[in-house]
Amino acid sequence: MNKIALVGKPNSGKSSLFNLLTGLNQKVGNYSGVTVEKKSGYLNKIEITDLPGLNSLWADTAEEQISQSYILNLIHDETPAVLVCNANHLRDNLVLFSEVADLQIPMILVINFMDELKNSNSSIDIKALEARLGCPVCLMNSKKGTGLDTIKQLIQSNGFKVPNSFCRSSYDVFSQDVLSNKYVSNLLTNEQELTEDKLAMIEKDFAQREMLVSKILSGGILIYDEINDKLRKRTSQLDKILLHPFWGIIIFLAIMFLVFQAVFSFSTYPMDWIDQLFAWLSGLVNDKIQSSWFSDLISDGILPGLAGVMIFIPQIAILFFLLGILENTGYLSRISNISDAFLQRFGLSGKSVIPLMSSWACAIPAIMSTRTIDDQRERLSVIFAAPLMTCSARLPVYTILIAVLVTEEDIGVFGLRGLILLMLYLLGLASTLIIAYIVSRKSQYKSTGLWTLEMPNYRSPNWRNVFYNMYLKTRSFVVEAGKVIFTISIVLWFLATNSPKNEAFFQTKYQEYQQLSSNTDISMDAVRLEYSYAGYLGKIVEPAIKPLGYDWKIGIALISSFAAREVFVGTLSTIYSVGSEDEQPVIERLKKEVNIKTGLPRYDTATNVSLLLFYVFALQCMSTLAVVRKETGHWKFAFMQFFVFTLIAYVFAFAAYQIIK
Amino acid sequence: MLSHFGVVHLTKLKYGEKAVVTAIRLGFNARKKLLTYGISLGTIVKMEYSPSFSSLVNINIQGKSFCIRKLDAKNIEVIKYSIV
Repeated sequence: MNKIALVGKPNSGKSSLFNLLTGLNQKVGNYSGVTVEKKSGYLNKIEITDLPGLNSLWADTAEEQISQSYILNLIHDETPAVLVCNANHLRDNLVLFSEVADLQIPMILVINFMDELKNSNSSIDIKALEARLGCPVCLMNSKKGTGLDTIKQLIQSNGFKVPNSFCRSSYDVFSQDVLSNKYVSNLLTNEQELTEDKLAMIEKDFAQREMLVSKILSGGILIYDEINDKLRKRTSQLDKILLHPFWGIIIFLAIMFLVFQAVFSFSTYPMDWIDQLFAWLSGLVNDKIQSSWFSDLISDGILPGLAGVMIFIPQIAILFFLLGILENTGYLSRISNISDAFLQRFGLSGKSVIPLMSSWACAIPAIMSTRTIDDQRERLSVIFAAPLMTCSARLPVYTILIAVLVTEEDIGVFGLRGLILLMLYLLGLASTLIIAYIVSRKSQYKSTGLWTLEMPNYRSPNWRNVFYNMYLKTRSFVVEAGKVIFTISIVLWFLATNSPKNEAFFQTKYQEYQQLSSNTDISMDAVRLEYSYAGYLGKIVEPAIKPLGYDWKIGIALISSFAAREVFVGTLSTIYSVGSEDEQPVIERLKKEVNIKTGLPRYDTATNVSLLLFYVFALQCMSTLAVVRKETGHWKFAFMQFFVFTLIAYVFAFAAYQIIK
Repeated sequence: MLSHFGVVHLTKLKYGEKAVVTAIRLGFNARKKLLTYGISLGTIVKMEYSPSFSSLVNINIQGKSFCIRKLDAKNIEVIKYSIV
């Protein structure tokens, strides 16, 4: 035996056992051809695969079908399975056990949440249950790790046993003197093949299993005291408040406000530290490495590229840490519950609320968190629309452009700049919901039909799971999205620092500009940038962006900000030869910039509004594209998203400029 | 239309009330999905929460709590269970 599979229903504590068995020695990938997450790790030399949770081997969702197919293959591989049960729902979980047991593969049954069982005055006679099932049964408390040693010992000593079968014999078929069993082939029925007769057969199968499970648990094996189930009582009492039509929504808004405040404020310092660390490293490289092109490549290409990835780590880690707590306590399901009615109008459901709200911090973790949505049509709608929500990277761009657009004045008790910012946020939200609605209507995927949402009991978070989840999600972002961001950053650096012209040409142009222009601050860097490959690219795109009110300089900023929106501000600083990237000098510089042909301000109201609208809609973030590709499994979806958003941005920016002009 | 006297839609149950499922008027796939959640004819369901503003009903089957949409719940007929 060199590998085993962990099987169980959702919320059975399967992943907690997986984390306890493998520690951080685990890798996260996708099952081939699909985007369902595959988690595997090692206990000594035994490979453990944590399968997606499934309610039954009569698979329904995409995730369940992956698990079903993996479990059915265990028969051929002779691979044993550990089935994890939730002690609070033992009767229901044993129905799944009976389905797997009928495959006649070696098994161990782990009953999790033994602590909660004691709290509800219930008990299980393990020895008697073991005898009736025919395979080893262990009790576990995944929060404290109690019972883990016994499970490890059983796995390592290959203590698996083939359990007694339940309904397998009812699938026996005797034909042409050969007895064959049709259980597995019946399980493989797909949605299209489901008929009245087939459904009746499945109903009969479930009825038989439920009856057999009841028999097994009879005679004092399971004593469940519903009246004194403290956990259930506490959950019901809390639900009365947390799902209340008024207080429930107030508490939900307050918790979300705290979560996003934490994502913004707690990440400020670590993000600054990462920024400073990379700036220091760039300086160090310039000082220590003599070769100029090599030190430029590292300090201006590779290190900023790496910084572009690393700078998102604090936001992603904090968001997933807090979402992990909400999920572990059971509150995430309640959020889905209270927001479902509103989101249904846009073709979404309550399960979309967290990814959408996460997008206010950053679209990357938001898109990653859509894995909790089991309806493929809804998931793709959210992935497609989420980048329209106003992420934190848009904030520096908005701040600068609004400051150039209007002066600091108040309308009533509100500041004018603040009101414009609020309008941009609302515009982002409205466009997200409209686009999600359109995608949902046009999607080729069928809705799964019956929408269900499990409401687990409230419990204190399992901190190990919270930290592991945060670490794995962050690592996944750094490795997967990082590869793409890193490559494109180097390409952008090459285009911005190389030119078909020589040094003498730059000197001549520099002197020409100084004589022609009253702008005495003009620097050699700005001249080099104008005649770099990126500069030529800016001039190539100039005819296309001229109707929006932009010149080639804004063109370069638009192209370079494809890497990340916030690069727009930095690029403008370089182009307009401002030594510092502080907001105030950039704002003043943009205000003073004059259109040479008309003599009017370059950043007039029309250009500014046009730019603001462009940034509301345009998908100027290669990290998002990389994550969309990772989550959807192909570039086509990411490119289509980029094309559609750029087109919308262009149309709105064009209309705004032409009307206001 | 309800099948016979005394039968109500699942949405009509009040908080804490129990009932026996007597008919499920949904498609094959929806019925199969309900089966995996433990709901079939004869199952005892307990209403946990069904606020008027919400699109969902929260029901409990053998201690396990979950929500389905009211739109689907209206296609599930139940008869109130008098023994608590």
